[in-house]
This record gives sequence, C-alpha cells and structure tokens, in this order.
Amino acid sequence: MKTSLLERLPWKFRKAMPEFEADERLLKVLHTHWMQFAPLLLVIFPLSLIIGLLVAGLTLPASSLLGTTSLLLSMVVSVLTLHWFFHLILSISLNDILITDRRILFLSSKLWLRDNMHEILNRRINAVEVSKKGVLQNMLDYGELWFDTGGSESQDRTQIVPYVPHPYHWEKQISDVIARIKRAE
Amino acid sequence: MNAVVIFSLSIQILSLITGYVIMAEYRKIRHRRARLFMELSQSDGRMAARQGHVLLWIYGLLLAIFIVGWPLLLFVRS
Repeated sequence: MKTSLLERLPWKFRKAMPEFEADERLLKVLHTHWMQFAPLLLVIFPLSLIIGLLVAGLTLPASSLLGTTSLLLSMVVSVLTLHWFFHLILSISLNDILITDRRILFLSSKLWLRDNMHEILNRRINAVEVSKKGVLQNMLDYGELWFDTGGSESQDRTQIVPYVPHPYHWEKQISDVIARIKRAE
Repeated sequence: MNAVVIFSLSIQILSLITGYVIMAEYRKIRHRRARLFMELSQSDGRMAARQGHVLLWIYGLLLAIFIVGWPLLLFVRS
C-alpha cells in the first residue's frame, strides 16, 4: 500500500512544531525578499584571490615552492568559499513567513548555527506596523513588519519580520484578518 | 610532492564531510517545513519537500569537481 509523504517523514520533526487547531487555515506562504541574497555578491573577493593564486601557481615552475604554495592556498580558499557560499544561500532559502487565520509564523534558519521559529498569535496582535528604511527598501518595495502585541517594543527583534516583500499589502491583509477575528469575538 | 597530494586529499576529505553535513541539515529542515505546510494546508507537501533540490545538485556537483579536480591538478603539475 502506498504511504503518504507525511507518514514517511521522521517522527522527530513533530516535536518542533506548534500545535495547530483543526480548522486552522493557511492563508499565505511568503518567501522573504531576494535582497537578502545581496551578501552573496561578496563572493567576488575570494574569487579574485583564487584566480590570482591559481594563475601564480600555474605560471611558476613546477619545482618552485612558491608555485606549489600558491596552488595549495588557492585550493583551500576555493573550498572554503564554496562551503561559505552554499551555506549562506541554503540558509537564506529556508527563511519563510507563514500566515494562517490564527497565527503568523516566521521561520529562519542558519544551518547548524540557528533554527528559529517566531510565532505570533493573531488574536494577540493590537496593530501591525510597516517600516521601510533607506533608498533600496523603498525602491525595491520590501521592509519590516512589526507586530504590536501590547507591551512589546519596536526594538524587540522577536516581534519583527524582516525582508517582507510588499509590506504595505501584507500589513493590510493581516490587519483585515485581525479585524475579522475581533468582530467575531 | 607526496606531502602536497596527501595534504590536498585530507582537505578534500574534510570538504566532503562538511558538504555532506550541510546538505543533510538542509534536507532535515526542508522536510520539517514540508510537514508544517502539509498540516496547515492539508495538501501533500511534496513540493515543499523538494524545494531547493536544484541548489543541492549544483552544490554536490561543484563539490565533486573540486574533490577530483584539485588533487588531479596538483598531480599533473608535479
């Protein structure tokens, strides 16, 4: 008999999940803005170093110590760069924002270093604020959403979701959901 | 030159282990997300579980090229 993917996933993942209500509905899954990948452009510096060392290593005679050292250094830097680059790109691609009719989940990870899940219950949210700072955020239409849960401060990083694409649109959507919940109460 | 090849091979083995560890952690978190999406949307989370597969393939391919290529380059040059 064919088993579903849910049944085949390891049971231990169940522990790290919030308890969902039976009628809870997923409204939207948002991926954070691509500007998060901007630090990857720094790869240009190690790349130029690798090319420089490689050229030096290959042009010098095979018996020269300097040539061999250059090649070995080039190898070490290239391996480190490869792992740094993919560690960063894979970590960033794991940042997701889930909006349900009961809660907002902001999931962020840095492989082996950090695995965060911020959960903000919609009924606890008093207001949603948008913050767009600087030319880039305004030009590319992304920013931060801050959820005021009463007593929380805008400096409290656990209440802030960064790199939200089209933040004003999502502020309106979330505010509408919260207004519906409050009317129902 | 033997010392150079041995050094290079040890770096490549360490690199292989690092790559495997990073990929395994990524797959673990991706599967956990798939479970999360499935529980919430009552859909099969196949798509969520498969996300990032292309990245993993590129990473694996580059790693393989590095692991074979560097010691080979050093060996040929010697």
